[in-house]
Amino acid sequence: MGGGAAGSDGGRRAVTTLDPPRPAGEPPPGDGIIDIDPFVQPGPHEHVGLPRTFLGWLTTTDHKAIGVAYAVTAITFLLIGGLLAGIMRLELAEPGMQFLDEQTYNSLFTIHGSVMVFLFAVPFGFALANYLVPLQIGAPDLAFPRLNALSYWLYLFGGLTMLAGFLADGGAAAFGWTAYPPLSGPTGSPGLGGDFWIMSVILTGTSGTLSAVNVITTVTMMRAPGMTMFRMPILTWNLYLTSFMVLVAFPVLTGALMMLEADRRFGTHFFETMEGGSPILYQHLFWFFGHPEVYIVALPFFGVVTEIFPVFARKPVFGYKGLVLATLAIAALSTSVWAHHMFTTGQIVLSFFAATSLLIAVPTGVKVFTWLGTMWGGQLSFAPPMLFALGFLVTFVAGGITGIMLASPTLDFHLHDTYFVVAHFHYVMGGTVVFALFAAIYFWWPKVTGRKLGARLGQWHFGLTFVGFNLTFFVMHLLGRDGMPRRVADYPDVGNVAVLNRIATIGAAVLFVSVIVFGVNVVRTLRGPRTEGADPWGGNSLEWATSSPPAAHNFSWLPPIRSERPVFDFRWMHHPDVSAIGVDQAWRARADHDARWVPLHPRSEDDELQAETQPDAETGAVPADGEDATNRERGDEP
Amino acid sequence: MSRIGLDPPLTEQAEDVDRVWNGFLVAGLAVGALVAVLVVWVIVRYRRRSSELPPQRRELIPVEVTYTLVPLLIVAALFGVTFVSTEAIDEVDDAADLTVQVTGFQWQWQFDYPGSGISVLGTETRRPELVLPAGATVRFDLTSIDVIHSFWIPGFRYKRDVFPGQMQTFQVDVGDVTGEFPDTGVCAEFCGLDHTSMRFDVRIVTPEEFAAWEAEQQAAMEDAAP
Repeated sequence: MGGGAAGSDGGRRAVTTLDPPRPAGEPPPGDGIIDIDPFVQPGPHEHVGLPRTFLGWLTTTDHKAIGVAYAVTAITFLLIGGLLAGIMRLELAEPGMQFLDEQTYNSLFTIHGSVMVFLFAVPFGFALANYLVPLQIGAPDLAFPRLNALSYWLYLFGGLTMLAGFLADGGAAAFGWTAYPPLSGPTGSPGLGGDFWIMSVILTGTSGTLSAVNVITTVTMMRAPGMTMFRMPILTWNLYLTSFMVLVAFPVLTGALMMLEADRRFGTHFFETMEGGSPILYQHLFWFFGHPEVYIVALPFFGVVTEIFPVFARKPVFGYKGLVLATLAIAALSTSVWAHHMFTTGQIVLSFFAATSLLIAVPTGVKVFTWLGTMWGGQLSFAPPMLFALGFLVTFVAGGITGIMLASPTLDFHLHDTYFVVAHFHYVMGGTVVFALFAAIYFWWPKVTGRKLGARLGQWHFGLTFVGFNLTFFVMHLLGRDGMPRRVADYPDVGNVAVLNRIATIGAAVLFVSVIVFGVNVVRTLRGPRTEGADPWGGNSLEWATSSPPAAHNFSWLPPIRSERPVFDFRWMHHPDVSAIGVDQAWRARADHDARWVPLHPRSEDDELQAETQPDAETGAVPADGEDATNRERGDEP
Repeated sequence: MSRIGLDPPLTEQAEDVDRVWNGFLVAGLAVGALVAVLVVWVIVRYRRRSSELPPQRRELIPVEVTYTLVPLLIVAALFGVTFVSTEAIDEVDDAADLTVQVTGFQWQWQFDYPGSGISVLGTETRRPELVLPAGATVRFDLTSIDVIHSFWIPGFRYKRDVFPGQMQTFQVDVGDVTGEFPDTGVCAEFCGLDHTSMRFDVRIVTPEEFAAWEAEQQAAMEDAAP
């Protein structure tokens, strides 16, 4: 079995003998598709799957375990944030105050926004990066496994600090997730809740920065031989570029919040007008983080659907390089659009930021048409991941259109800080993220657990989410344009304001039901047996070239990497059209690949000794030797 | 007076905004409809019907160039519209017929008319009312004494943030529509505990009625301060 006896010489030779006999162009019996499962079975002694003990979870540095921990934590925070939103929607169902006081309401929307942005959306991107980046580039782990563990624990305790604010004297922070001073300053918000909030965001921001370093190093240094930059899956590309944006944006936020905390507790006056400070400075710093942040949240999820559309269309990504360039353009532009959040301050060069903000619609539009082009002429099947990816596409376009409106200062003067903006960013950040999130969960669930989520319940889940989401948030466009400002606990009972708010609350109830359906699906699936092989969907990228769940150090064997779809190329090797890699070329590619596999780390002394005393007779085995040594060495790091 | 939906545009600037809004809405709906049609088309037309592999096309440069350039042109046009209208809306000159000083504080508004010495201050039980003469060019000077607020009248299609220790200025040409717009003015920037109730009324009156209102207010102030 491939790499089964990892560590023994025989095992290493088995890596090459595992390749199927080199046929002269004869497809295997049946439909001509090569089954990858026999190639990727982990050996009998390899640890497969997640840690099984509490201590195992506490001490793990396995990127897959940490990725799952990230995902579970982020989804828990999603549920908490959703619960807070549900309470607000109940309060807003009728005009007049129902069961909350204003202070509580203000805390609710502050913590709702902060939880969703800082504790759910960004960390879920890092969950994807953790679990998938090493798998997609053929690496055994992230570059710095222990730093990765540190990132996770910083994130978890940062998140708990945020929630602990509710226990603080005076309640949780109640100045909005943007925390504009002077309201968030020592006079505006004297309570301890504000300090909890600042500390929480600083902790999670630091966690994100460290993760970004880890992802960048991993992608730069640890790609498998043959995995050139332009053969990386788009998800890896997006996570890579996202990490650069994190490095640009997060330290600015951390710095701004440290200044704010110094104002609050140490008597400085960075943002206090009366003492010569500048509140607008805070807004610049915050949004210099805040707008790249939007793309930091979104790009990983763009990556997710770019993985899903080709698999369910059985086609390669249409315009791969255009897509990468579009992502690069978004990353670059995202650092120069921040002040469109400040059009109404009267202290901004309006036309500059209008131009850059409108311009960013071009690369995002390219992405939408790329996805359509990927599906065009394909053979689409509509399993739950594809349904959610399509839901993402529709929601994202709707959010993009309102985004263009808001990029125009003329319209933003009216729409800024209203429910129109609330609707807009729930479409782009809430809707697209949640649809792509569930697409990702349904898609990679078999890889993580070895089981598929139920398709029928998945369809119900999708339908309810789609209806509930649009009921909740579409009406907010109308409310905002009609004059309802955001962040209000109550509204006057005039016109159709009350009716629209009630519709939104009904939509939220539908979303609540959809989450229950998902929960039932998860529980039912986890109770069932592991049924799925390495590649349940007919996938493209390397994560499907290992068992489900993968063994501790991911790969016992890799297919040749000659395009961004190595697993697809391998499966359809006998198909004349596949990526211009015919059967013979594939095997030549394989030999090429073996010859180029150089271990990143020096081999251990044992191996050196062995190499000296037993010079390898078979030249063909040498590269495989290196491959296995690489895996083992990285894994056995003390 | 009951309001359904959005107040009518109360200023010439607001009419400009509505025209721009219509343009953006049409462009947005057109793009949205195009994408919706394409999505439905691919779903219906390219449903999986066999186990054969479809053609593995990876790129088609003319199409890619088209879907890059066409959005660029649309965006450039939208920018042109925005640029012109923003400049017009944001223009402030010295030709104002009336100046209103707006002071925001937690959690009320005060409107001062320096020309006539009138001052309108909201109380917990009574919203302040902003009275403006139809057809006048009105300049607003806005400031705050504590945190950031935002002065928004939906009928103006305009809001301006109100910063502590700074004077913000904008100017509108009030249109010919008269009427009472109770509870329409809003603080749009979250400003703390009672942000929700920081609202005000707007009333647009004819110039004659405005003169009468000024006289009435001045008389009331003299009565109050003997």
